[in-house]
Amino acid sequence: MPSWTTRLLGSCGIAACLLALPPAAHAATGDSAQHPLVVAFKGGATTLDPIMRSETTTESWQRNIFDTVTILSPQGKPMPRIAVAWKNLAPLSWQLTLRSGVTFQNGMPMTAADVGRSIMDAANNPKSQMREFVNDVTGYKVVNATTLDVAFSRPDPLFAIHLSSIPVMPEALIEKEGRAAFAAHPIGTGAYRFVSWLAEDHLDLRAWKGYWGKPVAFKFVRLESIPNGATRLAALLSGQVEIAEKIDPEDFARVKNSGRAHITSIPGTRTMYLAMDDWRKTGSPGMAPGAKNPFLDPRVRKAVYEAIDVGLLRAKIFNDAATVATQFMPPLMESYDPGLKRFPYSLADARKLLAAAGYPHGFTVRLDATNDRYLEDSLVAQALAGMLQPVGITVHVNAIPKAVFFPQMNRGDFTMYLAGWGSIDPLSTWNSLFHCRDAKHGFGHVNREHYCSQPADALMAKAADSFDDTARIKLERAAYAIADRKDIAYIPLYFQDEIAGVANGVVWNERPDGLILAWQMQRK
Amino acid sequence: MGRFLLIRAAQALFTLWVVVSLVFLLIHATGDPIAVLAPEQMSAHSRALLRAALGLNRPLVVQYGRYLAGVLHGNLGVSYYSGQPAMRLILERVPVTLELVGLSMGVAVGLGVPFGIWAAVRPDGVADRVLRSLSVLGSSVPTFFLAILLIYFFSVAFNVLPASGAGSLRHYIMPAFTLAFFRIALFTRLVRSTLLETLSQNYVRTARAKGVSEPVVILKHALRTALLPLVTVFGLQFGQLFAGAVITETIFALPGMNRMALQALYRLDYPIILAYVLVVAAMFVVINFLVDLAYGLLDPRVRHHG
Amino acid sequence: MGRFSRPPAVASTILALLVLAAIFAPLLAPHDPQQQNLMMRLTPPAWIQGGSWTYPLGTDGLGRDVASNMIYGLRVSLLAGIVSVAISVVLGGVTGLVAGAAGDGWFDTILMRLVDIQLSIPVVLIALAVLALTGRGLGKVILVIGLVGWAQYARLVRASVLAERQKDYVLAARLLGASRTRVIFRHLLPNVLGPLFVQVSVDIPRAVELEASLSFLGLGVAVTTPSLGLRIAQGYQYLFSGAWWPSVLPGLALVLLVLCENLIGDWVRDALDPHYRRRRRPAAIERTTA
Repeated sequence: MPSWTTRLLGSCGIAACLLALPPAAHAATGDSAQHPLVVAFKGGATTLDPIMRSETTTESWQRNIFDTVTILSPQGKPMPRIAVAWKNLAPLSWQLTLRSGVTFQNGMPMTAADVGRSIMDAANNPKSQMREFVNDVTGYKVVNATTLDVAFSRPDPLFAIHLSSIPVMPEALIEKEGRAAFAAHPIGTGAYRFVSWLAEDHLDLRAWKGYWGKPVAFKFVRLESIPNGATRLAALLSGQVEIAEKIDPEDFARVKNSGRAHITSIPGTRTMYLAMDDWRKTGSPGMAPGAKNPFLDPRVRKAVYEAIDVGLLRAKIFNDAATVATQFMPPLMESYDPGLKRFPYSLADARKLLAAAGYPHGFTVRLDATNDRYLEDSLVAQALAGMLQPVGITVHVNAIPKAVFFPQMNRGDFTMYLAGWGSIDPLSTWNSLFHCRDAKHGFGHVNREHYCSQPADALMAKAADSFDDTARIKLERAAYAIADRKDIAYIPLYFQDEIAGVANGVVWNERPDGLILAWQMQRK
Repeated sequence: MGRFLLIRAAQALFTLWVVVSLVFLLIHATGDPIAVLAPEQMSAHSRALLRAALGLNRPLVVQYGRYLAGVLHGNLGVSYYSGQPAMRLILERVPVTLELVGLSMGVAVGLGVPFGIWAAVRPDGVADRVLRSLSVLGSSVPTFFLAILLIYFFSVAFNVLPASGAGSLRHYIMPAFTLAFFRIALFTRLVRSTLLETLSQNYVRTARAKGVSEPVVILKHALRTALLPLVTVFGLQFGQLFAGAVITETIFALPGMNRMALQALYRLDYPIILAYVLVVAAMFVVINFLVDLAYGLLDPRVRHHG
Repeated sequence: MGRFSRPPAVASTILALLVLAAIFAPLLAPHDPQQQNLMMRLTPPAWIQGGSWTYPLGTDGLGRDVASNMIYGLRVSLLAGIVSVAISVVLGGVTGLVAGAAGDGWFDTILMRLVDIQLSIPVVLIALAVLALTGRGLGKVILVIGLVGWAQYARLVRASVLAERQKDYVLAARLLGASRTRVIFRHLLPNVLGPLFVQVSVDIPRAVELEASLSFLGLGVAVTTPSLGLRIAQGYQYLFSGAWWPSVLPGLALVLLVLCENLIGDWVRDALDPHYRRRRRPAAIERTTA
């Protein structure tokens, strides 16, 4: 009988619920199923199919069961995981050296073909959300038990970074069982094996004896969702959970003063930015009928940039738990230029620019934003409206659920909007968001503003073919400087920080990619 | 009677069909699930593939036809987000909702009935007046605000109850009370008014005259007559909460079916929305049918044609 | 039960004051409700340490004045309550009147199935669909609430019309050759008004609550519109760090408004329809968002 039927029957009486008291057994944290190490997340994984959903919490839960081919270091460098080394043989060919002695949790040994098939599955499965990472892979060849050659249609100098998003799956088993059945009882090569779960609520894990890596510090782990920040905090402070992610910055002091836990935080990889219509001459949505589009003038975009006090946003709305963006790409990316600064906040200069552009009295515009997608999204949108008021720009905030926002955004129905971009790398970010729109070659597919700079595109095209890190990074920085500084393609605002509260008995440092991985945790 | 049942069954099926069709149209009007489902980096080509894989690239009529055909075969589709059968995902979360609703109805009846008796014993007495004022208050505090007040006092100020989750019975105390609050008032009013009515009836007077003690009169004679409306209202309220505890489940983060439906709505997970609506519609149809039937059987003035 | 009680004096007075406050909001509110001051965010009410009389009831997470938002919020609530019920009454009333005048049995069947259908579709879904098609805004929320409330009125008006039709004075009027329309408007309508009024008095507070609930869920008015429900939702997150005023104070205003409306509704019901409670058969199951 499936477990939900049992639960359904059991719960018909309220008695069942009365009996559900916590067991009294006591053991060291993580040593028994009754007393697991508990990690409290804001959300929960929607699926355990490891290629079906590219979203941080879902990936966090999955990657305790599944290994990825590589993994990112805290500095954003690719590190060995299933692949221990990688070598670029030719512009269109990479060679991976694989770890030997890796076994799936059902006892089947992992082969080089499994890795190759997993890459192809991620690249070709229509429901795969990992496609963008391995889009250019055309095939693979097993050289020997631990060597795999991968072929490409276009050069991918950042392949090793992209492999950090590709899980290794027992493809033969998936073919036999079907994806839905496999996802209900997943099998990977990771440190933990699946015990039980309720989607988006909790996942129970148990250390797997046949794991190839270092033995884990905690044998029993429970990942659970506690959406409310205050409850997550209370659970951490009362010792019900060992790690609680996304602690509200206003509560940092309480965590530190509790004597039971501490805070770990690091700038993340999500850029929050303001986008402005860069193509409609008139008739931009949310502007007065027939009004001409002020954002075509770079001076107006710069005025908006300079009227926004991101430092104040950071201090007052995020209690300093966000990083002011000096450029579009976050610090983890190779193109990040530590020498760049923001245009300084200056209302006087902004007013001057607006007057020069022919808007001495400003104008009226609608700002679209989500109210259920990014941290404090609706609040930030309202604060931005407040900041633009003094320079004469009247902003009507339209903060709506993501279900309504994204379809409209994709159709290009917005004139000015607040959005987030989770970066994979500077190359694909450019090609998606900054490149002149070119449907035929798949460029600029989310460049809804029609930003276009051919010189910058040319620089990036060169960078995309360059396997020489120094040369490539120089090209990337030059291109982003054009978009960020000269054209103000978008107004970068801030990067959200990855934050967690950790019980003092546990060693865990937040990762820039936001993943929380039980097998990387240690006892103190 | 047989024909009546047959007609009602046909009507029920018709209702379900219209509901599913309307909701199908409504959710397609809300926008594009791919826009919410696909990660922002996903290319146009990949989006098109995903759309095709979910069957969303076909004309609306075809999608509709396929969905209906699926429903007739008991297949309500799989969630866009988990790949698991939508009906199973809904049913997995029914127990939490049942526990919540069961507990709150228990509290409502457990407090409402004694309160009602208390108020009816001495109409317009102090207890009656106080309870009447409280019952108006009970129907004036919006659910979400009551939940917030409870959380403030019991989780923030005094920190004695968890503000969210469903791990133990303690987690259910505040949400159950939130839902029970209005219904305590409802049952108090109901019991009071039916008791007052029956207490003035002849047979009760006779019993009193015969020297039967007041508690026995109330509990044995009067309350028995109050039982039918009580059971009816209980049933209606149970159904109402079962499919209406959206805000409570959301604020207290209970993994119940209503919260799941709201989440599905926010991310346009069509199969789950449709499965939920079907479950709820079926329940409404059945309950309304039972109420009609009960009144038809009990009230000779209502006659069924045919 | 049948006695004609006095109107509840306190509730009427308070409601009158609230309505006046809503009407004269621009004169009463100390600040523009949308005016932000991030430097002054989460200032507590004046009587608490750290508060100031510039913001008598404190400020919210964006430094907006809580008192001004409450006063303008009453405006939004009252508007939503009254206009949406008016829409329901017009839609439902016309349907019910026509149906009652026609007097055919099949209409009731269809109406009941329509009610079933209506109740099976979550209000939240309808609100989301309207939001997606037309955007967020007060007018749209009012329309949604009005649309989901029509069935009650259709049934009520039809039942009243059917009951009155059989009475002598109507039969007499018809025998005297009065036209159908004339009968409806001169004779039936006045008699239907009583129960209609009772239902309206019950529904206004409900509509106020529904607007607040939808706005609380982010499916209602635009984020800058000072709706009480929306402000409660926006203030909720600060509750946990001890700042209770941005959510609790608008909430109390909402409760006060609904409470007064309910008390007056109770009185209207007792006064106009003493048998209302006893005779009414429990209506078909109703949908709530609880």
